[in-house]
Amino acid sequence: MTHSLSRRTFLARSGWTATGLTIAATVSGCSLVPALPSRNELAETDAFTWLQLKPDGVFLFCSPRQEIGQGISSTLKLVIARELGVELKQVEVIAPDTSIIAQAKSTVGSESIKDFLEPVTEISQIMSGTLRARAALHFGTQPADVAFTGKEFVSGNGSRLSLSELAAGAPILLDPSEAPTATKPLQPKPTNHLPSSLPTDRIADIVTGAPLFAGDIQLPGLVHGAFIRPSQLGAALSKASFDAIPQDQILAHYFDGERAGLVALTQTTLVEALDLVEATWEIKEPASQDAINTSLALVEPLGELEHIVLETAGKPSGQADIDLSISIPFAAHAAIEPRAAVARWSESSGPTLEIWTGTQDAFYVRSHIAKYFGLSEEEVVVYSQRVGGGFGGRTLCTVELEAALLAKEAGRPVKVQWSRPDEFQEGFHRPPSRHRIRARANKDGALTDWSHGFKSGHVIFTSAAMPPWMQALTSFASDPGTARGAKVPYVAKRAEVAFSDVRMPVKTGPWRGLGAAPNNFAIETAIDQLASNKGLDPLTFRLANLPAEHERLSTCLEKVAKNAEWQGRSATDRSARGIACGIYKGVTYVAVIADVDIDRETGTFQVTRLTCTHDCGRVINPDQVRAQIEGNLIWGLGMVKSEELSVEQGRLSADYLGDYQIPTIADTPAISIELIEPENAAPVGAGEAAIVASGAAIANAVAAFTGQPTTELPIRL
Amino acid sequence: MDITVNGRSWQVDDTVADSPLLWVLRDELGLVGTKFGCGVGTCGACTIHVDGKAVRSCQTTPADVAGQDVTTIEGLAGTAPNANLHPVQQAWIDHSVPQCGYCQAGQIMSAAALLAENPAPSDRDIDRDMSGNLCRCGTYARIRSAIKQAARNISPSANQDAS
Repeated sequence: MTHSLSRRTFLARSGWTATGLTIAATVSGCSLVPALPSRNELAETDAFTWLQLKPDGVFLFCSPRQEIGQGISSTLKLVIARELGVELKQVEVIAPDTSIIAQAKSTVGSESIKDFLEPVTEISQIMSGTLRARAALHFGTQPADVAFTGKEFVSGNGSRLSLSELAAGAPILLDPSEAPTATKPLQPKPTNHLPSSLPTDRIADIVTGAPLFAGDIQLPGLVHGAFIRPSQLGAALSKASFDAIPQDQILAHYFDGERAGLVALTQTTLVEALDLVEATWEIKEPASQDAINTSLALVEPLGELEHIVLETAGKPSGQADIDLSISIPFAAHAAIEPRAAVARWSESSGPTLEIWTGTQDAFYVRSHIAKYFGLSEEEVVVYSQRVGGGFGGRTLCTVELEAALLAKEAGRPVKVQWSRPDEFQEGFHRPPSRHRIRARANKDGALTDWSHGFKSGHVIFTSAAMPPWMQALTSFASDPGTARGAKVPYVAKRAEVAFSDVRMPVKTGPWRGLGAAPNNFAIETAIDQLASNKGLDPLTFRLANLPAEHERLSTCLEKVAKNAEWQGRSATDRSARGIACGIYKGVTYVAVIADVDIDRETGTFQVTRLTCTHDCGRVINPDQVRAQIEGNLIWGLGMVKSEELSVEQGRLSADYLGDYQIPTIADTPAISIELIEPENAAPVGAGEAAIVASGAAIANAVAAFTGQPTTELPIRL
Repeated sequence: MDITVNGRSWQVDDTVADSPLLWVLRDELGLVGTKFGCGVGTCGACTIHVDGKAVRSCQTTPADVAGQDVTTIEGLAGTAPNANLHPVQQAWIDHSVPQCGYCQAGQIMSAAALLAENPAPSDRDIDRDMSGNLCRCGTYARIRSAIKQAARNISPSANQDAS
């Protein structure tokens, strides 16, 4: 078998050409790069930069994927070890380093296995063939006559050569111009010495507190920096005075007419000094929740909504059986690691500017910063660190630019550590949305009419990601993030789904699952109400209205019903049960049954069990897929139980985690998950699928108890 | 002034005596395993032990811990070279608890303090004691299982809550 990593085959296999952002660039008639995170195509030779054999005989995998808690590092390590036929400890993984690997696209959208499994497998095979050929050359024999023990090569006459001896003091890199032909694995598969499942990479370092995150970086002469923040959303800084700060308390101050920052020797003196900056802010138009609510109000008819997601020849007609309005608020990522970055400028040889950060897109950070300072991309190096929770929130360049600005001003390396209020007030959030669903079913329980209109803030074309002039250019394009998951999976003879994206006075952007979490929540709440309205079992009703093309979703529903011993939507005077399902990005199928205890007197509820079935095709690392599903189930729980941001007195309603309530261990139910792997089903994403069903299953249980569908999140009893 | 951290005496500048211990540990002593998450004691990422009790280091100062023993995640397993992991750390690995890992040092320190006081905690005990340690990845179900395994490993004879 020969391998020709042609650009075309890579692209065709990986779907790396068509993306929403490419469409946006076309629509707006201008190049958005680098104003938006990188979604570049993979070039023929890119994968050759990912894997090398170090002189010490350990393979170094320079991952093109960020480690954001999704476990991709250990999963790809497992794949590489299997292909090379070596032990796990012989493969070391580092997060994207812009000075080593070719530009890689953002770690978003649950694409790491779907798009990178094949190229990582192939490059491992090419490495394998390259090393075997080199060993054969050393032995003066043919590659076919060389055996590999997992540690050393053995020739036909018994001569031995270890991996480090083969490297002979210098790393072995792959050269695409010497396209290897021998790609037989170094050792026959399957490699029984490897586990079938792995925990996250560096787990021993995590439990012992070794440095892993951007804030853990220590450099000679490193000092601390921060910027002052407005007390109101959208306020513009017009004046800043540093006169009130004692001279010896700070090392440098910075003011460029738009922002003002300080550098100090310690984090403590920095925070004290920030309070002493005298700043004048101008507020043009204070943000208000009332204005946001007004902008999201749905108007009739649906035809007024400019983006059509689904439209059948016949329009929905007749008296709807249900007419449901649902209001979903802003939500925060609330990662436990607040953003942090370290920047160092250098006048000597090497890169001009180095950045250490936890990001979902190191190349976007590089590109953004290079452009800002007028440097070439090669002059800026970004060393990715482990991310303390991504969830879509680490896709832009914020704290990295702040660190670079202050490091330049101070003339020494600077760390900027965002505070928790910075996270809430300066970060971006899931936009709020308002949905109206009208639907009808006939007496046989067949869905006949489906009409879903919604308004939402932007997810991709946001004020957080681009300047106002560019937002104007994208105004006519349908925001693909907002639209995600809006297409109803059930078949209706007459259906229409349409939405409008509305500018928010709050920075908005991708949040786990993008539009799919709120959109599918609305769909699954409505379908449950329709079943109830018709006096039908919600499981039977769903199964009856799913088309054959979604057979895998039907299977998830049938299996979850069996696992949870579903006997119909039910409620007692203190507990209830609900069901929901969904398809994420057209490829991942999930169904959830929720058991909920409800206390009528206190108006509270407790989810006691979540039973989930999940089909993301072939599973490469079951432990990490399960971990992702568990996290998603909890995110769905938080979404319906407690998470809510609003605008109050011109700013976001939360500064600390007590003000914005994410689930705690006390909220956590028993969880059981079945992974369904249909034969020959390609591996796809698991990072943000189960969230589309878990919230709705819980809400449908509560609805079974109250007799009323959920119309507002979080649920208030 | 002197503070004792992980069995070792460290001299810290008097000017930081009233600063958050979190920053002293991280920036002065280089013990970065203790994490910053909120600065106001609501997330638990900065949890350490002071004389064996779980304490939020962002709400504590060097002056507060003078004369007491401070333990951070780096010292939880003991100070002997090649010391075995603390049973809670081992259980965290065995149950593959961490996802992003950022909150886990705080979770482990809280769990170890809980088990030192209550060798056989029930689910309810765990929920009550660990509710101040937030994890956004949602690893809580595994945290519960890991704490129970650690409890069994620390005191196999302890009467275990079967729930």
